Amino acid sequence: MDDLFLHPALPMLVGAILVRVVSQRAGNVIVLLAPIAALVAAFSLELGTTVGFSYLDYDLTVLRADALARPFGVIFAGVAIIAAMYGLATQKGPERTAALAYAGAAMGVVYAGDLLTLFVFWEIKAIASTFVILARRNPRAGRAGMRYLFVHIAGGKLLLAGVLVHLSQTGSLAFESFESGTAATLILLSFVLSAGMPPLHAWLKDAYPEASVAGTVFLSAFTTKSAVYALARGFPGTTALVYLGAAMALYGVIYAILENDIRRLLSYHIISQVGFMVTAVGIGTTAAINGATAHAFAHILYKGLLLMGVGAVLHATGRSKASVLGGLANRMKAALVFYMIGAASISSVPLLSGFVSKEIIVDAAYQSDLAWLVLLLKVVSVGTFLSTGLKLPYATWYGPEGAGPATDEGARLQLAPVPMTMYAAMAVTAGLNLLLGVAPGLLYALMPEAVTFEPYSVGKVLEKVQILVFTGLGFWLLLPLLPSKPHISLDLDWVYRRLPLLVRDAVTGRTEREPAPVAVGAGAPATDEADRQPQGAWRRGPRELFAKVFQPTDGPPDVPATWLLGVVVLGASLILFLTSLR
Amino acid sequence: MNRRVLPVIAGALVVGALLDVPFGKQAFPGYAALLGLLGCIALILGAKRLLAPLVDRDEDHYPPDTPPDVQEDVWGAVVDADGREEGQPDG
Repeated sequence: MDDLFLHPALPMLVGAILVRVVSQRAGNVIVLLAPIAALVAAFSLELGTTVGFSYLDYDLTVLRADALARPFGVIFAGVAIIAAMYGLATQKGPERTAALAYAGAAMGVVYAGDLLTLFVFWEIKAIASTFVILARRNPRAGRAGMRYLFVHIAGGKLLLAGVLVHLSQTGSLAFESFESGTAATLILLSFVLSAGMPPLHAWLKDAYPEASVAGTVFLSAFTTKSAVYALARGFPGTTALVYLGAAMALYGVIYAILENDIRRLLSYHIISQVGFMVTAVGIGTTAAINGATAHAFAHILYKGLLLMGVGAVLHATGRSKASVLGGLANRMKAALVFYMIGAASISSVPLLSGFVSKEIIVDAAYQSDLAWLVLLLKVVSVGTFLSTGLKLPYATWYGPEGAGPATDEGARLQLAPVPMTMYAAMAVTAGLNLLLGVAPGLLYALMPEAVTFEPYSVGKVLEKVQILVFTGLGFWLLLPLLPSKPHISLDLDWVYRRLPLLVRDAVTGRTEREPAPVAVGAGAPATDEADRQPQGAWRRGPRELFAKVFQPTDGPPDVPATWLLGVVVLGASLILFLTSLR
Repeated sequence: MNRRVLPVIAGALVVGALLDVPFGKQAFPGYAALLGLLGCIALILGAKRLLAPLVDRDEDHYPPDTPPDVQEDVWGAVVDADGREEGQPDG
């Protein structure tokens, strides 16, 4: 039971409460110390440690430290340190609370040995990450955050349903590899939703770019990678995942080519890279699971670095759209250099972390005689380098402006100073990416099984370098096709952002695209007149029904009323919980 | 299309294929070079010519993300979207 105090989620969750109540200065210390303590705990837990107790009639295992959990625990703690350092100058108490609770809950997912613990941490993770998004405190983030919450609550309910069916069929809550069946399908759905698999992926590209600069670094690490962990634990060798992961990898790169918002572009690459991991889990051999784990580890580091680089641009300029950026290279050299290290790593340039992790997966596909998958993953790597290594830095730092003026004289963009702590976090992450690329043994030693893959040989390096060089030449050839225009690309978030409005317009007979103005002003008479138009009964009936169901005349309850309701629900659940303890 | 690049690509293809002869382990010399080049072209053309016509929209395609209703804070004061109380001057 003493080992419970070594649970790596514990320092983060305690820290989450502390940063809310102490001063900003003390919070600066705690937000760094909490993940450091978690990292120490993750390393000091001996493999095979389990802590469990019995709750109601169920045997719970709240802590299970084994070879699969450890690499995820280590990197989750590591990235929390880095992201907290990155956010030292920008994050305030409430955002830190959300971020640490989110990191702690993800840690709880990784170390959960039973499905009830998994579900509880899964839900805390969803709610805490919503608050990370909301912490940017603007209307766009608010709306995107609420859409994100609804999707993840739905995913959580799928998980709960799956767990309950599983419990009723097997009588066991142990979180092990699942047999196929209804329960497994429900749980698999909730896991792939969290992994960001199309068509259940739109929450990711919708919400991640709306968070604050440091918030996005937190978000990029935990949700999708704890889903990869859960898939690797519960569904290794599920053949469907090979195809779904491959589709995911391709989907992400193709949308990324079209994307104008640079942080959304990188979000699409999260989908694509997680596709590599999902396909590896689907292959399911020892080498493939090692590859999925290693790639998750490296991905968290280089994706964090990429988002920190473009986050620095957003912090300095207030802009994140490629169409309004450019000409920054001379004025933000450090951010460009750090970003390019991350871009080289995600493109699996030799001597960087992405190369030593991604090639394990490609090799595992090769060993399993999946020639089509090997080819597809290589083409996806081409697209990755194309968007993150060429198009994005070209549009952001160069563009039609070239490298930009060396001084502020005649500068097009006003640049705010970027805090030193941001650069320090980027430097540390860039260093780690280089370290893992040069000394892959450090990464391989953490993997669940012994790694036999040898990344560096003349043939492999030559092949990779040629692929990258010719991708660059292809980009140069087709550069006129890739201008940065202000536009968006429809994705499946259309289903819940636009379709309901179209349905409403069709049902109520409203013709204009925008929702009617709330305030009664100059535009009101026209609406009144339209209302007085005689309408067929076939249209009036559904319209009145629709108005009753979806547009109650009394509107949402006042804020104080929801507070009272919230307190009552919280109190009731606390009482239920306390009475359930023996 | 940037035609000036074509001779560079042709030269690089020859160099790449020649390098593959002693060192490469691929299906044929120049395989990796062609994979990179054709993969890049296929992805760009696929995204821009096939997908973009279907999904490309103006930036203001979605309705503006404004709060749907006027809300009251805990003390009953009406708060607008920017967090200002009603009647309070801007800024």
